[in-house]
Amino acid sequence: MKASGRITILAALAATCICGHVYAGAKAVIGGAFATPLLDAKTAVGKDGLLRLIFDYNPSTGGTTYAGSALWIIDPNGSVLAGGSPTIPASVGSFYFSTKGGKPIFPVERSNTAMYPQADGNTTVLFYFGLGANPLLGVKSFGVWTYNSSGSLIAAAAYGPFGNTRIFNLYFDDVTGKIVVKWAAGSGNSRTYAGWVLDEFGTIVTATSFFGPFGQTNRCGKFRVNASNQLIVPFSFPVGNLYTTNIWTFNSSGSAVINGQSYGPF
Amino acid sequence: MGLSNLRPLLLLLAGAAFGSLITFGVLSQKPSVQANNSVSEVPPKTLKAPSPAKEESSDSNNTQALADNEESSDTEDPVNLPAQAQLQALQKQRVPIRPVPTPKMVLQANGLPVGVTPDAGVPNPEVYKRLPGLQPPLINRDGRDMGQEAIQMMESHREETPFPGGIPSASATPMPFPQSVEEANRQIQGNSSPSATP
Repeated sequence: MKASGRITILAALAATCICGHVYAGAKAVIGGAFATPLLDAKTAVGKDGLLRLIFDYNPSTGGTTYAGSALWIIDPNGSVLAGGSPTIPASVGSFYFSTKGGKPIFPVERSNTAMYPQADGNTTVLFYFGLGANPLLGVKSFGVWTYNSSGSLIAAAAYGPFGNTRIFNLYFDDVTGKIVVKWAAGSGNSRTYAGWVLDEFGTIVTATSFFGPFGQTNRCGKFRVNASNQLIVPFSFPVGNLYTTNIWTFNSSGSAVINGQSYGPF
Repeated sequence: MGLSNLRPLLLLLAGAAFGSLITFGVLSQKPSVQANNSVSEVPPKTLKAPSPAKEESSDSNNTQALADNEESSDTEDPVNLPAQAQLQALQKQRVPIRPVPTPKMVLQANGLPVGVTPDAGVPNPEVYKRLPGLQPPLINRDGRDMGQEAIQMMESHREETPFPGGIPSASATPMPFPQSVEEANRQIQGNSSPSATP
């Protein structure tokens, strides 16, 4: 009788263990408020038709329990084809963005990550380090990891922090999947900018020197990159009640401006 | 074969059925969608059950447009109750639990892991000579598990260093926008540090 009781308990435990292997605290980051990849939804479909999704583990309303993230690659039938390995460590950090009144914008913590499904099936993940109270200001370092289509890590890079500079903008170019970094130095009317373009593995393919200052911050717009790795930098200057638009195009290494056009004032 | 010989087998089956019933009962208490989805083998062991009530209360206090945008996509939002009902209906459909595949490093014919191109991580000398001190990324060329290397790279404390290529003086005064490409390049070259200039 003792033996049969033991068998029953063991079987019950086995069944519970097999069926009950469930985690309750991984939140798929499916909502987004901005076009900025850091804050946007962490889901994307690649040219292979597969969905990439980042789970944030243990995100909380207090901003203190985030425990890392994982990348999943899912086919149109819902099958999980791959899980990224290694998982993204909690040391990457998360933010909990508050408004002026101290009320939360996002219901839960959100990892400091962004991702892009590359045309070749790889998935590139960006890490934003050193976020302060405002995730759009004060970032001085970033990292890049690239997973292949089976979820294995195939490339890693980290850049910064650099003295007296910060990242003004960091994002994936929508079309090419390249990473664009807009560096800023100085403040106010003395602010100057430089641009980097990184490929899907985190290699710097274009780097400009700092240019400016040309006055107010908003006179230099969002950097774009074309298929030849050429950075395109727009400027807008007020002329009375009108505006002049200037467009610079750098060469593919970023060492020189090769084209400058001026339009307006309109 | 007598009934007594089948007794252990019957007890085993009874135990398994009992365990399944317990598990079913436990899972049906969980609000998470994950119960019916694939189960990751990788999450940390410290996962904590979310607190929907807490999230809802913070959501309801949220008045900004940004918040509205974010919350509207969250299933915790009371506005999404019909969607939640649909979700619960979906949960009732038995979706088999499948494990997340463990990544296997597959090599290409050229010996490189899938996804790695021969020129991956190979720096353009023209670019990197203007960025002294910067190293190209770590590339997996032999199919090894580079997880620890990558994590160490991110977690190690990194000292602040001068910006590669140099930055202009912080007190630089605004200048007129260059009227030609030549003028722009002269101005840009002036901002480069001598050490970074080829």
